[in-house]
Amino acid sequence: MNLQRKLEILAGAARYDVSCASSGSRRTATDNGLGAVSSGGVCHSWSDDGRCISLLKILYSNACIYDCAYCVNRRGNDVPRASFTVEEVVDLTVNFYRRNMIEGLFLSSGVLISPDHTMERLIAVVRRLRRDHRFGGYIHLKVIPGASPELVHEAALHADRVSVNIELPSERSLRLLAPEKSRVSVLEPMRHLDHLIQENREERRSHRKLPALSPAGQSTQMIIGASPEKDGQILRLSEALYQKHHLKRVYYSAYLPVQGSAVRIASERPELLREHRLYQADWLLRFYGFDAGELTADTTSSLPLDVDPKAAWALRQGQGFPAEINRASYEQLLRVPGIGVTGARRIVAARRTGAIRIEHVKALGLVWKRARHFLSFNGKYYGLLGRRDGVVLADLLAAQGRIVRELRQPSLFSEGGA
Amino acid sequence: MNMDGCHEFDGTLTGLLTVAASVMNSGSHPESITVRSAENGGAGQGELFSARAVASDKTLAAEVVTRLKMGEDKDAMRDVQSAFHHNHPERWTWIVRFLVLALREPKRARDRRLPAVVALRRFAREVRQETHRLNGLIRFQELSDGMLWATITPDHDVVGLVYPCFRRRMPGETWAIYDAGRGRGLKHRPDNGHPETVLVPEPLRRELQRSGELPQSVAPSDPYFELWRTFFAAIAIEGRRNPEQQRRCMPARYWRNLPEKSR
Repeated sequence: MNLQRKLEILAGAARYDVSCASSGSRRTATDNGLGAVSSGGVCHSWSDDGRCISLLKILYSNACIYDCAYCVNRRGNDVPRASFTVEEVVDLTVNFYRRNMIEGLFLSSGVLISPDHTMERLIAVVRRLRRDHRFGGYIHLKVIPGASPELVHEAALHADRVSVNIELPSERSLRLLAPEKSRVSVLEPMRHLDHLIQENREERRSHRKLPALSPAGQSTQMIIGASPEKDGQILRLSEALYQKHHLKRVYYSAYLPVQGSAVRIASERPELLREHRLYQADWLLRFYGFDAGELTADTTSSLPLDVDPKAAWALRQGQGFPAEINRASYEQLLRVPGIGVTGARRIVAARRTGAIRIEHVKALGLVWKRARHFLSFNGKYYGLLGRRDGVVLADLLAAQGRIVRELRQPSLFSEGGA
Repeated sequence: MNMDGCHEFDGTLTGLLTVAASVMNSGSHPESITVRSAENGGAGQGELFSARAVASDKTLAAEVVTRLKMGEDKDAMRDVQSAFHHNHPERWTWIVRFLVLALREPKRARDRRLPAVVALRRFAREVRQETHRLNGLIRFQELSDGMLWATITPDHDVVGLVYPCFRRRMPGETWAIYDAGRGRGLKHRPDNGHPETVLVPEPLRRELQRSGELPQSVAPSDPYFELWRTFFAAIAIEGRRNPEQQRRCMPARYWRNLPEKSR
């Protein structure tokens, strides 16, 4: 099988892992080396599904001994199989990098023979890149559930970011859909990585020259819609992963029935709007100071689909709105629909030299269609709070943005096949 | 001395800062002045009136920089340097108006209620956005002698701004980035810490401006371009095709120089 055909199969097999970031790490190339990393990451292209491409995202092999019901590469599925050699992956990475097509490599694999055997192959690739080619670009390495701690440690030494996919939000679903993986086989490497990363950070405070271990931390991915868990349970799990295991990102991927899928519980269409609301809620947890309990009442509740989670929360508040733009704290401003992190910062900066009035709203970058209901300007109010029930919600729905309008269009879902 | 009216400078950042210093020292109101560059002869403003030529003065310019950096807004100088590369025909005027404001009333340098602040931040942001975008979208091809070559056609004059990113990435390689619209480029060699100007002969300059492509004899087709196209096509999830999002993030005006979109 030639290299081009292998790449076609093994890139296609990797596309359902949605993590794509090349951010969170910083490194300059050595004089005789190739590759640097910048902390914000770089998008090199956008694929036809609208997603950013920043890494060479491939599987080392799509042969797999497991039979997870949701996975296109599962053992029982009749798909063309291929495997790279270590040298082929290294060659593609180095040459794509030189041409500025990628920031680095994202490498995962189906399970060949055993988790440890597979990890050893992946580690061989990244070791050759770092040592023989002095490659300083970004490396995101998947950790295979069940891999032994020494191999997990070595993987983290060479990578900028590592991840082990939790895939399903509950142990019960994992048992039903991926019986060969256990919750422990997923959580144990996560705990171990967290311990290694925190320990490495501590040591580098006093020994600055010590090499960083997975400096961009770890992430994970959950499939949405292949199993019955509700948003409340999913968000509480994400919150725990962020707080207890210090994960950098949780990714949510709406389940798309793939060829040969054995998943029985699945809605007719991929839940793209639900996935979008989960990402919005995830941002609120990480950057806006919200708790999962404020966004969803309990583990059985769902996020509303028609309106974003921040506006839904604001509408539920009896008091606290409208917030006075000239006196509210930064944290209070962050909770106003239509004000983002940048807007809140700009408001605080502008306030120092004079009162903010309604004519300044556009220059400050606030989304007036949403914010107008929740702000006052030295007492002056321009919204609809206090009128009869549902009036504000109706206005917010009428002002809905492009992304939500597109996600609601049935035409997006009916397109299938290449 | 009254400094109202149109001023002409020599096209350099030092010259522009000198104009700002002169206006500052004269006490003129910034709204009453316009600025044009001697290099491109007016670009539509000040044609009806004669312009006052202001000679570059390194000392005055350095004073402006020092005073600006002493102010509250630590990003102001950086934003001025970015805005300088913008292609807006009136950028010089807006930069000088901002500088005069920022020096006279430092606390207002970040006040987005003021048009000069909004203009400067917008120019700086657009130049930095294009620089950041090009850091990702520039594609190199390997020439027959092993050198890496990239053609770009940016809106703003950013070749000098993208150069440091690639020097960081590939210090050990020989490469060049060429702006086909402006007919100039920069080259890096491993044994030379400074960028070299790339000059191409006239017929090649015209061809690059027209098509962005080097002749086959110099740049035979690169096998990794074909592999990249294969990867690019395979990585998309069919059930989530989104050409509108793709175009928003990667505007079609950049596609000419992208192997994944130019065939």
